[in-house]
Amino acid sequence: MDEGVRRPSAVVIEALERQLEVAQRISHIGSWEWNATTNIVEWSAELYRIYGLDPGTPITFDTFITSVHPDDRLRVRTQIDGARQIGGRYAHTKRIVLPDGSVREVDSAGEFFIDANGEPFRLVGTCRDVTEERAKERAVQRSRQFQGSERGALELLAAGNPLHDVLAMLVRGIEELEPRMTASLLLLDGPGKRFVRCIAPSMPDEFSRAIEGVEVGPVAGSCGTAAFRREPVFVADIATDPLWVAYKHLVAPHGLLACWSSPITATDGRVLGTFAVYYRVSRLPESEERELIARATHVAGIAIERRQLDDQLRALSARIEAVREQDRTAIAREIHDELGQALTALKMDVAWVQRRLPTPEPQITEKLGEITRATDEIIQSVRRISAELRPGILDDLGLVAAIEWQAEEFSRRSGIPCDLTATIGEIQLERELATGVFRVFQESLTNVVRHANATRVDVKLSLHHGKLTLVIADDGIGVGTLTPQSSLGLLGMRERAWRLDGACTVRQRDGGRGTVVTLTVPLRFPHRDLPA
Amino acid sequence: MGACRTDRPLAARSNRPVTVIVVDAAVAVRTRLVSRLREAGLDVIGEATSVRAALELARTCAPRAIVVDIELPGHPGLSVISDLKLGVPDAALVVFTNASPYRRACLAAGADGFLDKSSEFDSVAAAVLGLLA
Repeated sequence: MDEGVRRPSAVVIEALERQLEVAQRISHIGSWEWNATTNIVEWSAELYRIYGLDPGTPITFDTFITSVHPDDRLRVRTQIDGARQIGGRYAHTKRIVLPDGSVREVDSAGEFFIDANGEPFRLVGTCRDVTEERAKERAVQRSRQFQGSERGALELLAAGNPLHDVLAMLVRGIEELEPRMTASLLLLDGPGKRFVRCIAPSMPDEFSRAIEGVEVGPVAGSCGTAAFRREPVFVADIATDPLWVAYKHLVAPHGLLACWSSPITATDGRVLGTFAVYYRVSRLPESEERELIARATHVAGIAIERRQLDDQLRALSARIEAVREQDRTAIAREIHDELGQALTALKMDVAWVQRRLPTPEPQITEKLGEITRATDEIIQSVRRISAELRPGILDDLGLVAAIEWQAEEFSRRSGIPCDLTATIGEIQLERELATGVFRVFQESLTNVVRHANATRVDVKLSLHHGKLTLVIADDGIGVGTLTPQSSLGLLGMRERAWRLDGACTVRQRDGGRGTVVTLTVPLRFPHRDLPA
Repeated sequence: MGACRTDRPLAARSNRPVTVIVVDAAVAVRTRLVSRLREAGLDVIGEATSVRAALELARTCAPRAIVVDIELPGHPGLSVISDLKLGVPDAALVVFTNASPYRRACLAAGADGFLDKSSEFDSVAAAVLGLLA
């Protein structure tokens, strides 16, 4: 053996090659070398695996470039040519198409070696399969993006927006993740037999109308079947799937090929509806997509159930309030009739005695005067208590007359002028509505007397676009100094508005002293944006 | 109640007698009012507790005035006035009631007078006479 130059033995080389091959397999990195002189390309075993080719298949530049995805081919060729002109390195990401038609994503890098004449004679490079990695990155990114939609939907729900808006946000949130996806959310009726509402903002209205009324069953498209089976139904090809025989004509015109539907269930197990994703390619969802659909379904379930509970609570609250008003009406009547008449008779008798006193008796006259005054006070109290319990005028003459009367009473007792402008005409209001508006008016005036220190009150009652609006504005100290007691009163007003499906706001008067209470209620109530 | 009656001898009447029907469901107040009106010289020829009974009475007695409380059981508010006005158009209609918030509405509905039961009972006779003068 020569001294100084020690060549590795064949055994060592073989060992090193094996080591390299294992390293490449583990890291999914393949390597290659192209000899410009011989135009022979050598690939490592891992590179053959990445490209889905049998090891030892002869490779030329042409076999390489034809395996690049057609959309990426020009870019790759241009980049390699550029590097060849000036020598040096290049790096890019591209998609390759395997012989079985599947597509993989790879990161490639290469370097040209130039000979003494400045001609490239060798190109060496590596190629890493990043398909799974990128898919995971995209999944994480989509998951984060959908989180935004989930949060948005829950915020809309918490802020009391219509259920339709909440659910539409989830539907759009799914659609925004992938342009080939279209989503729809179907709501079931109470017994869970029939779809009553279709929320599909990206689909034409006639699609929704065609779905509404469809009954659930063992063979009822993806959604009707999913609701019936209480489990997800994923159909890869609507055109051939037996579940879709009766319904495929509804989606075919829209280019939708696959439909994956999941039931939306309440905490007690009731099926509330279904969440469906349509795909423009015939395929089944991957686990990441299933996960997203499950999330959308979960949030939709929370929203629907919460709104149903809201509606139940509101109905119950309205019922309690109606019973309370009935009781108050009965008590008011009783007090007014029984006590009122008896006191009047008593007063008449005192007057009778006064008239019949044979000779003027100053002491008796004075005492009788006192009795008359005391009786008057009791009569006034009885009238006030009775009217506060339930003003008969509200039932007999309607809201405007009742508010007019209450405003006059208020001015008479408090000495604060109260100006009323009513422009609602002669409309018949439901008892519950008239009572609610009147009670808010009473509560507002009570607040004015107790807290506002006002010198005048302006009241406006108007009707716009089917909504009744009552505005009570005073020129007092304003709402900046609310006491716990007055804020309880405000809470009561808001609750009344909520029961009537309206809103009540209390704010500082624009550009000046005072408070403005605004009550807005729809004439039709309780308005439910969706059937419960 | 029921049939017309007059307790004053004909000779005592000056000109045409002021015949009145009192319609009020509250018996304590009605009896006292009737005495008071008679004391004041009015000829109370009938008493009733409902609009229907009052209309029947009026058909046979043709009163010159009707004093009525609009708070009659089973007869909502202002329809008392319109029903009596329609049935007995020639009689002066005086509302005598504890429902003081209805004053304006009653007058608008056709009542000729309105008196508060608890504070103006001494003025009923004068009001009736004033309307017929």
